[in-house]
Amino acid sequence: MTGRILLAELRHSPLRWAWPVLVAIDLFALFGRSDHWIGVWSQTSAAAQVPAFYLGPAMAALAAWTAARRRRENAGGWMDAAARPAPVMECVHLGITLAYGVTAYGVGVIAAVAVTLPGGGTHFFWPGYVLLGLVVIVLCTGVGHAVGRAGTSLVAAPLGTALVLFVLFSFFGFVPQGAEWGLGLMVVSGYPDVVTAAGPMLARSALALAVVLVAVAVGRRLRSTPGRPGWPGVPATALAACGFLAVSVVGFATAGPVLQQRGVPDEPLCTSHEPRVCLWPESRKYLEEAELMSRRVAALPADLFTSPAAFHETGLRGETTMGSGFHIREGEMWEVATSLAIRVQEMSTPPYCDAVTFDEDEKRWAADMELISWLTARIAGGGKPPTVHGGPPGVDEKTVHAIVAEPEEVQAAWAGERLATIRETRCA
Amino acid sequence: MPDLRSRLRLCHPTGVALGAAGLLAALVWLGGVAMPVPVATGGDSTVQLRMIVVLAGAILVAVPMRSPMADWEAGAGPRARRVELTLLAVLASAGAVLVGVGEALVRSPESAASLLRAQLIWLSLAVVSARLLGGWSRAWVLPLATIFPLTYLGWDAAGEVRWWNWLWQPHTAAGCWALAAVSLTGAVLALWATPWRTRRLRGRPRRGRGAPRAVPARPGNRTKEPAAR
Repeated sequence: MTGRILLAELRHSPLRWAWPVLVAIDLFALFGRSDHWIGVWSQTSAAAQVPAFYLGPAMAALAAWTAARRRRENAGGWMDAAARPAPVMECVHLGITLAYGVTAYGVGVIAAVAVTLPGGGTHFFWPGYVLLGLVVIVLCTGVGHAVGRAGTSLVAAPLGTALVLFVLFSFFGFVPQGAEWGLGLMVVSGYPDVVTAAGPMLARSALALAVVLVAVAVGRRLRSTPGRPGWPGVPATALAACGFLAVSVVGFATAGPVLQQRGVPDEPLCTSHEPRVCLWPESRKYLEEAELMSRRVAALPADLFTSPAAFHETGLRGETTMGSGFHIREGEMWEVATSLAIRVQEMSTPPYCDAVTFDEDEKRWAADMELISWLTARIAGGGKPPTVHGGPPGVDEKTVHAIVAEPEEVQAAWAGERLATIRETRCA
Repeated sequence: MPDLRSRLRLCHPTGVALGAAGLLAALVWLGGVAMPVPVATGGDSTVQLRMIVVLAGAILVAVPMRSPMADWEAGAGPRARRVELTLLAVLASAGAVLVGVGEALVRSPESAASLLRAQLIWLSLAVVSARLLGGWSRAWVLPLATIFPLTYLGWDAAGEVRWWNWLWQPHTAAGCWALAAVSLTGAVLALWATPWRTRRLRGRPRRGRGAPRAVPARPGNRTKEPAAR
């Protein structure tokens, strides 16, 4: 019987009109941006979660709208007439709303997994970020339902919840970086060196569940109170739900950061050639390019440059300091080449010291930057892609990159000059 | 005037006034705060809070427009209709004055011009939404839905703002003013196309053909149209 009520609500919910729009927003948000995440499981999971930033507030508005059904014109309360307990009907109502939101989100997740499956390798699906997005959607739906039930205006409730949540998420929703403060409910990228922590994820899920329970409890009371004679009794369920909400808020606040350093892998993915460039197994689609880079590093003039034995992607050796490895930011291999170039440069020149005069310091700085620019172009195997903006400060990159096309001896002589400038700088 | 006053008293006047005051305060004090949002490609990945405030203000107009007696008013005469249009005009101009004067005093007349343009577009969309989706209570749908393209897809790969991105295009951008004109036309059309007018439009060709109406439906007689022979 309840099953048939569920089906009826599924057919009657105004969300059936919104569902295609939600799916469209999800897919646009997923595929409208750059496609660097395709083939990298950690990034795929994060990319599938990004649409939750929009779906969450949208679901809050829609839940507020459908929850206020009794107040709406031409939308009779057929559910009020059902011969079922009020909490069951409330669960049916909110459950169907959730089902529409979660399936719209699910379509995006399935699409993201489907495009990554062919190239992603064996490190199958990272559920962490997807769960985070799910938490956001459930949380927003619960808030919207409660506001829609409690509110008195059909316009202000959806408008207010959606915009307040949108502004809130925009300021505080994302996982904080550095000193700023954030709720840690969303990420914009998923590097393979960080994973979601189990405890904080559990706290977030509990919070979402608590909000849904409060929405059901509040909604049930608002449904049943009018028209009932006398004191309706102690709202035990509502009090219990609010208590659970309070506990879960405390849990959420004390659970700590949602992202944590990932454990060191047993076998990182390394190039066969010396110097080895090592990647996380998730980044396997960059291995071919890394192989080429490693060969190009090996082909640098051996009498001028010494290369480290291996380069590592950030986090591969369990380090936490910045700059101890390279990041593959948005799949941009040029930046990897820059990191490699800086490492080679560091190995090939004496450690930094304060120069005797300001002039020498300036000269050394210029030579340093030019060399890094040249090394980057050498290691990347050509000119700078148009998607990369900025570069080493004070360098005429066009001229430096033109040198890469010159014969090897000319390049060696050019680099030798710069190296000499650096090495001959007298220390104070 | 007494008509308008009694109409105003019907629909959350305190709440609307408080909301408008809150929005105005947010516009004046926090309007310049940049909100980070995810974007698809390049460009400015923020939205200024005043843009969201103006969006909220444009939709807030729908709160008093939605009469709790909408069902009865659907069958009301020209007097109720006149009151409805007057109320809309009053609310829209009040909103425009608040946004325009507030923004011009706190920031610059240029910024005020682009905000007024955004307000015009959103308010028109709210009117269209109300008419298309069936009532003022649905006026929030279309304007709220524009947030996604405006914030997420509003910039091209080279980091240039797209011609239709009325949040970030300067106040001189012709494309956005064209959009504003189009949506205003849409709103006027939506206000004009009342049920009795659209019914008359739809009814005319049928009368022209002179086809007799089908047998009126009786209880128990569930066939809608006589089968074509």
